[in-house]
Amino acid sequence: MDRRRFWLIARKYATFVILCIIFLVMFFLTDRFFTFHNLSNVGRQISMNAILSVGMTMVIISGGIDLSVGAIVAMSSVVCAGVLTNTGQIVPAVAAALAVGLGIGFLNGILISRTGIAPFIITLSSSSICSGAVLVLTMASPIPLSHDGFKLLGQGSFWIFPYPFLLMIVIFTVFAYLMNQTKFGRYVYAIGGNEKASVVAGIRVVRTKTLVYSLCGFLASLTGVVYTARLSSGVPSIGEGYEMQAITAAVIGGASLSGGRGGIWGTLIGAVIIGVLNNALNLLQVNSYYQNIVTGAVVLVAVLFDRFIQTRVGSEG
Amino acid sequence: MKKKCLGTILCMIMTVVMLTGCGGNESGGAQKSAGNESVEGAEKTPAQEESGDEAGQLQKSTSEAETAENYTIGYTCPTLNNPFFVGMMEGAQKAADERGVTLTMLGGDNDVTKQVQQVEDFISQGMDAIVIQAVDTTGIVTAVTQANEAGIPVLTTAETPTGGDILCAISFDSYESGFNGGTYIAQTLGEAGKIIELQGVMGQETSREKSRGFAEAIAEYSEMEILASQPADYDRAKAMSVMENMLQTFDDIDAVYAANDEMALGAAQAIEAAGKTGEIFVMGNDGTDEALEAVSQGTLGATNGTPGYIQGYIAVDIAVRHLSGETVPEVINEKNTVIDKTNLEQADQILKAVSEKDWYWLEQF
Repeated sequence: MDRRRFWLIARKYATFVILCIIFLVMFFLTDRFFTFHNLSNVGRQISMNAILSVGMTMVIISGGIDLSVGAIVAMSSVVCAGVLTNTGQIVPAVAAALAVGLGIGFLNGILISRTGIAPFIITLSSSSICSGAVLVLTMASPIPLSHDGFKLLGQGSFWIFPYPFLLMIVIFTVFAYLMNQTKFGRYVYAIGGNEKASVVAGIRVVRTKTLVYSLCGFLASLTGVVYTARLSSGVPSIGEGYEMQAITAAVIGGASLSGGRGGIWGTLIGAVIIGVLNNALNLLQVNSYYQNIVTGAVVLVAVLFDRFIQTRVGSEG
Repeated sequence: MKKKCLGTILCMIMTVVMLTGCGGNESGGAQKSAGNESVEGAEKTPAQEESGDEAGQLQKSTSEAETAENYTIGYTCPTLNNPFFVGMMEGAQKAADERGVTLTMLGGDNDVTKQVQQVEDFISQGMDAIVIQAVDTTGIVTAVTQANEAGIPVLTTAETPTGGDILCAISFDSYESGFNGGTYIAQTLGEAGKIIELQGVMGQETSREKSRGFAEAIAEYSEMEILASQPADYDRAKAMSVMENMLQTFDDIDAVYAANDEMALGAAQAIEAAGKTGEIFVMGNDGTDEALEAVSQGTLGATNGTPGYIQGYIAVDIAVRHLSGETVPEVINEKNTVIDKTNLEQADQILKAVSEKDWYWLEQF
């Protein structure tokens, strides 16, 4: 009993411990890491992937996967920039971008929950359609922006906190509440754990799953808007491979790709680990080739560690 | 039992520390290659610069405190798994070694947001100069502006960002590259023939300009005809499949013009598979080592030499000249030179500027 409790606690804080170790190593290896300027940079850098990962975590917990988020980021970025260039108003531009993301997510969700076709296939197709549409819309050239107010959203700070970082905190708080404290959240976990049982138990699976994918699309487009503000332009080439980063963050944070397990706060730590690691390797002037190896190794150690503890909890529980 | 478990955890933790520590050692290795004395120097400077950073006068306080050996230069380029950029890294590293400065070169995985992060990290590190070859000339502006605000000089290679203050823009004239290619092919074919054009990445400025130069060169010869222009994203495998389709579509192809050597080599492979080597003249652009080898073997007819090697070399050379107080020009134009069998032996001299007398860019000061 005592031992099991120890492992349960260990599992809860495992990723956090890994993060602390990275911080500690950086503290000893360079004095460039713990500077105000760098930490504020890191905060800004991680927030986009972190917001993207929240939606991905929900989808993964529900037992699915969404490969279209990267394409939605690009799509919302060019839509946002396009509308902003034509109207000069921030509100309609952001609204249009978010509506596009929500719409694509909704279509993903309805197709997946109604037809029963694997989420992998549906979202892979919509990803391809979106990236094609982005190129058609822009003829592959970026849309430069010169709107100062909008630029501030991505590049400005409130006191010492960059705006994207604050947005990230808000998103995490809202979605952690949604997943942990509401009926909707419990349904998502239940569907991911056992979909058939959920149907029998009377959970509206179709509705819940559609909502999950819609929210994921919405968060992807929000990420796209932040990127647009940060780059001060709508860039059709961004977004490629972002879905993998989001999946990685969720998995490091303890989400299981077979569904039913994972958490919003775990994902935050996962996203921070990826972001801090990227920053750290750059600060340590590690060659680009080695960076991939180190990142892969750390991810592997994190999930192995999690699995190791998981078997302890399972076998002795 | 509990102790055993704790032991295992400790082992895990140590593995992580070792892995991350490995990264640290790697950087030590990189610094070592940058000159004998620079290891110690590079380690000391961050501390000196710390105060300067906070005072917002990074540039002034450091350039006085430092000797040439302590300069650190950060270089971000679109990707590091394309021979052009690998050559660029070698050239930049060569220049850094010769001048005893520390160079950090990073690839951006063809993602402009990643490049922005890398530049931000360069600023955090307090680099003395930053060189950027941007994936996207618009998206990178935010990073250039941040470097400007931190007082760090920014140099660019290839396409110039659409905003921000650039100390020196080093580039080939892409239009001239395409024009050279078109003219060379027309003269080789006796001013009459049918050509396939393999373009670079759609929407990218260099691709567009090369293609424009090529088309205008061909337009000067009434007997020359461009059968098709297809983008193959500067990618060898894509070029190969595009060329296979072209060989299916057209019976009569006299020459292929590819906007880079990777595509030219891909096209040459497709031609070889179709048993038409020697019948179709293939011309590339860049002058990578593999392309030069192919020219000597005859699978490639010629390549318009605009190698990454010299681009990287010039960028670091100019950066160091600026840091040592020299006034550098705002624009450096790199030379286009066609390499074929006749001048293959001098290729190294032309493409890599091995000795100081070949440093043609100094004439532009």
